[in-house]
This record gives sequence, C-alpha cells and structure tokens, in this order.
Amino acid sequence: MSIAGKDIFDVDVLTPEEVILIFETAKEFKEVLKRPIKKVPALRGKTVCTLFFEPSTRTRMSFEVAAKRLNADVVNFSTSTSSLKKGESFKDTIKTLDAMGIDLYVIRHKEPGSPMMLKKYTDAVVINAGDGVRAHPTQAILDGYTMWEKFGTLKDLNVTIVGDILHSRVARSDVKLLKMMGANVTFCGPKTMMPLGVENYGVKVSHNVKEAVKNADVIMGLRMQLERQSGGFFSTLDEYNEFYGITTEMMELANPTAIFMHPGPMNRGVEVITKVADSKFSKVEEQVTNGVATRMALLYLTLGGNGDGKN
Amino acid sequence: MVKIKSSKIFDGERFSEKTVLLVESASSKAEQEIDLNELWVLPGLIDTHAHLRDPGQIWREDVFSGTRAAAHGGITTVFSMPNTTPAIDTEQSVEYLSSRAKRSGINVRIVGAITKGREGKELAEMGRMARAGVVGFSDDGNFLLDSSLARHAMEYASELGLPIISHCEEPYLKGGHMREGWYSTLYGVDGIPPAAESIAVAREIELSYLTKAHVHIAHVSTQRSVKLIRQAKKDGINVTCDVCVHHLLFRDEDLADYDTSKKINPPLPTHEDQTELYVGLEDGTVDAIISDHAPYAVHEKEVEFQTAPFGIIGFETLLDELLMVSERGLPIELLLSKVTSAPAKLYGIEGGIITETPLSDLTIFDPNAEWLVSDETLFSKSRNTPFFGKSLKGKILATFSRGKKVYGDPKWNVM
Repeated sequence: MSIAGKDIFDVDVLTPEEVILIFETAKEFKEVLKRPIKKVPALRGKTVCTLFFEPSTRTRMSFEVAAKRLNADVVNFSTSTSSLKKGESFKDTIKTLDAMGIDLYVIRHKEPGSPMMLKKYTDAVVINAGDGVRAHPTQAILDGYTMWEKFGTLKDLNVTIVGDILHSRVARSDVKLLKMMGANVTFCGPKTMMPLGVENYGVKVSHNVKEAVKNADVIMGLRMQLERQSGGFFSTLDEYNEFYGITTEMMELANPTAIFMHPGPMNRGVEVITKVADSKFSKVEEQVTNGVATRMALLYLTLGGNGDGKN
Repeated sequence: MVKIKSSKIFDGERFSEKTVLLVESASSKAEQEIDLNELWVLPGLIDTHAHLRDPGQIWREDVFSGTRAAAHGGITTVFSMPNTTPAIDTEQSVEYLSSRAKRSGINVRIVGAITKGREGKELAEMGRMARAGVVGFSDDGNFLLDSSLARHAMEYASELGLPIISHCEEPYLKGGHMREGWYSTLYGVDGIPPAAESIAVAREIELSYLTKAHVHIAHVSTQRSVKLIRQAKKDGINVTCDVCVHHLLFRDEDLADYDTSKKINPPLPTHEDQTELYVGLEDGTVDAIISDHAPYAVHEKEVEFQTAPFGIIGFETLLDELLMVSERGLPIELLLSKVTSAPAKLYGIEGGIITETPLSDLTIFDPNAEWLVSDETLFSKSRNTPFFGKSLKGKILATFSRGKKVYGDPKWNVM
C-alpha cells in the first residue's frame, strides 16, 4: 500500500486502510519526537512550500516543524509577504513558485476548492491545510489519531462535536473520517449554526448538549468565532456558554473513559470552561503533538516513503 | 431571392413541411429554390435577457462581438440589459447604444434602468427612455429594495405601456455563492437561501396586484418562485417570468469541481427546484427561456470560486442546450416556442414566427451535426461557459436577419 503522490484534498481521498497506515506511521514518528535528537533524514533534498493565504500560526508551524524533523527544506509563503496584494493572480503566484522546484505544497486558503485549483497549475503533491469551511483533512487525521491512540480503534466510538458546525471545516472533515472508520457522530449546536442537510453525513443532530454527550467517548468543542454574534447566529456569549458550553457536568454524563478535544485555539468561558480544558479529560495538548507526528507521516508517505528505512 | 423548402420548418409553435420565401441570395439575383430536406428552419431566435457589456466593459463584450455571437447562436433579436458602465439610464445613453446597435447585424432591443445608476434611490427618466425605444425597465443585477419606489416605477412603466423586468433577490439574504442546501454544506461554499428569491418575487406580485403593472420576473430559479407565480397568474395578476437555460441543465451538485464557469446568479438550482422549473415550463407558468449571456474575461473567471463573478455566456450554445433539455423530457416544440413566438408575444415585438413576409429573420440548424466549443469557434470575447473545450450536438448553419445573412457556417456552402 502506498499513498505516494496522492494529493490530500480531503480525507475522502483516502481508504480506511490508508488512514490506518498513516496512523501507524505517525506512531513511529511520535517516538522520534521523544528522542533527544528529534530528526530523521527521510525527506532530505525535498522542498516543502507552505502557502498561507489566510493567517494561521499554529497549522503553519506544525507543518514546518514536521517537515524540518524529516530534514526537508521548508519555504514559507504567506499573503502578508506575498505579491498577491500587488494584484498578482493566484495562477501567476503558483506558476512562479512552481518554477522554483517545489515538491510539495501545503495550502491554507479562505476559499473552498482552492487546493484543487492549485493542482491545476502544478505537478507537486498538494496537502490541504484548510480551505474555507470546506475541509481540513490534516486536522481530521490528527483528531482521528488522537482517538485511535487512546481507544485502539475508531470503530463504534461515540463522538459528539459541539458548537458552530456551519463555519467549521474541522467538523466537515472529522465527520467524513470518523464515519469512514465506523464511528458514531453527533453534531450538537444551535440551529443557526447547523448547516442544511447534515443528516446526509449519517450523523445525529441535537440541540441539547446534555442529551448529546450521553455515552460519548469523545466530546469535541469547536471554536466560536466571536464576530458571529453580529450576524445573529447567537445572542450573547453568556447565553451561548450556558446552553452549549462544555462543563464538568457534561464530562460526567459521558462515558467514564471519555476525553475532551478541541482543535484550538480555545475560547475559555465560551465553548468550554477552563476546568474542563485543563482537566485530566483534556487531550488538547496531546492533539498538538499528534499534529506534528501525523503531518510527518503524511509528508513522508505522500513524498514516496513506503515504511522502510525512514530511520 | 431564395425560396427555402424543408420538411422541418418550425413556425413558432410546431414543425411542418413548408416552403417559405425568404432571403437574399449571396450568389445571384435570380429567384431560386433550395430544398434543405430535414434541416431545421426556425424563426430567428429571440433572447430577451443578455449582457452586451457596452458601454464601459468592452473587454468582456461589446455590441459587435455580442451580436456576432448571437448570430452564431441563431439569435436575431437580443435584449440588452442596462447594467453597463455607466448604466443605460437616460435617453442619451439609449440613443448611443441603439446607434451602435444599428451598425450590428441583428436586432438589438434595449432595456433601460429603473433607477439612476441602478442604485435604487431615484427614478431614471423612464418616459424619455421609452421615447427612445426601450422595451422595458430593469435594474438587473440589483433588486429595487425600496418598495415605495418600486411601486412608483411600476405605475410609471404601466402608463408607458412597458414592463418592469425584475431581478428578484432580497439583499439581506443573499451574500453567498451557490444555492444553500446539502451541496453547499458539502462543498463548503456560502449558500444563498431560496427565500432570497421568492421573498422578492412575492413582493413583486403584490405590487403588480396593487398597480396593475406588467411585472416580468427574470431568471426564476426556485420551486417557491414558480409556485407563487403560478398562483398569481391564476389570480389574474399581470405577472410573467422566464428561466435561464443553464438552470435547466445544471444543478448545485455539479459544482463539485469548483468550476467558476458554472458560477451564475441566481445560483444553479437544487434537484427539487429544477424539477419545478420543468413543471412550470410545461404548464405555462414560465413564459420564456433566456440565455442570460453574461460575458467575463478569462482572467476574471480564472480565480477562486467565491472570488469569481457570477455569469455564464449563453448565446452560442442556447439551441444546443435546448436540445439537451428536450432529451430530459420536454417537447422540443415547446422549448423552441419559448425562444421564438412566446417572447415575441410577451413583449409585443415582431418576429418569432415564420410568415410569408420576405426578408425575415431565419435560422437554419442541423440538429445532428457536432461542433467543438473553442477559441476558433466562439465569437464572444469571453470564454466563461462550462461547454468550453467540449463537443456539442446541433450546429447553426446560417442565420438571416431581415433576409440578410449574418452568420454562415464556413463549411456549409448551400446558401
């Protein structure tokens, strides 16, 4: 099995077996991250370009660390330092960068479909690091890995995702991966932030957190963008927190071994209270570490690694 | 003069075997008769909603390229919408455009703006534009939100005997880039709820009831809009509507490839909405079919999906698209009537039927020949069509405007 050369537009480009391959490879790389010298020469001579058309420090750094741990050369392109502000088109930007000999692009863009558009102008491997509200496959893979590491499997896990589903690329990719791997997913959030047709994903929809977290193995909070208030998506943060905030009570309603996850950055006191965020249930920091390990696995596997000789 | 004979002459309602006299001969003065056998002879098509981008946006299209493209599509009458730069909102600008249009090969009819600059604030000089020959008024692209002003515009227009052509889109509910639904969720594209259209349609129906003015709803695209208009017609309200041909062929789900040449406003319908458009055509709720020819330059469309402007060119593929629609179950005669006799009747203009009058508008069409939509074949300045690079069935062989040949297929030498 190999995913060499595969573009990761979303998780649905992968088969369940390929997801497990990524998990197993990530597990080995996670060992590397614990060593005093956290580096392997697996991607020496390869050039990874991070293309960030939308500001994101965490995801960009996670990819950069992952690529550097594998000895790849990393170049960063972001709009603040780019020529896009001078009116250069997306197409011209990519053609220029491509002429410099990039092996793999990591792209973050506010526009849905932009990774596929990028692929029109390059032969390099493309990894989607978030395109609008469409998809965020590497977040879904790190989330899935975190659950897999804790529970040994994703099959039959009960995962409840709480918050603003409408504006969440994380929820959209997570649900695809989780359903593909046999988990049960519940979306919980206000009707204003529940996109149309989500039942087609095969999820349960709830507007009552206490109901939604019963028997959950995983409770995942989503970041509430504070500016949504002005669009009438919710009334006040205080009311939102009272109705949809994740509290210790929710964790107690869930299964005894349940974990709390969040893609970060958290709005403490809005979608989750500090007591939960910093509790023994919380896997939030582990998710960050797993983000590096799973992105190492993806970079390595898509750039041609086959599981041999990476050390 | 050439007399044409064919077993497939479409008179505006149905096909029959006929001989018609007709057109100027390129080669000789002597009267001759040509038997076209089974080639279709149609009245020149009437497209009552198009954007010629003239004046002010001529990198996209102008009167000359636009009318050549129309002729290549078998169209001999086009309505030019006023969302130009500046907007067509004065008698002078109507006269400017019509003087240019007279130098083009086909019949260009002008739609004037309802409000100055299409800004929705003050009425434009509708009376003077009527004097200069406009066929109706529209702020196309914008919905006239101020209901009081919209009411007065209707009163003015009805006094002038002209329709208001309404672009129905409630601006607070718009703001997305495709129809809201399961596919907008799946594709992560901001959705435009169907109510953005039907709320506006309902307002127009009520104002038409109040003012007795003829209100024509442009490019209806939702189930609810069709149902509201059907009921309004039943109630005797003076409302008519059209659908854009692209909405009969493509759906929201087809945007999986984020192809900006399928980005259009109103957005591509859901399956349920599209089904109702077919029902509306069949039961007569929908009066006409339009191309909504909306050219954008390649560089304007070669951008991210949500950044790209809304619009698809449609002149040169209109008839082929109607053939495709007929394959989905609607009679071709019905569809052809919606681009010939029906719009002529709707707006009270000439054409759209085959008569004994010599030197009329005619289109000769081979429904079985194929052609490639390419840089070499398109006459429009723009390329924003989902058919670009594809082979289509059905080829225009010749188009005659007032008996004069305005388009001829380079390989077809019969006349």
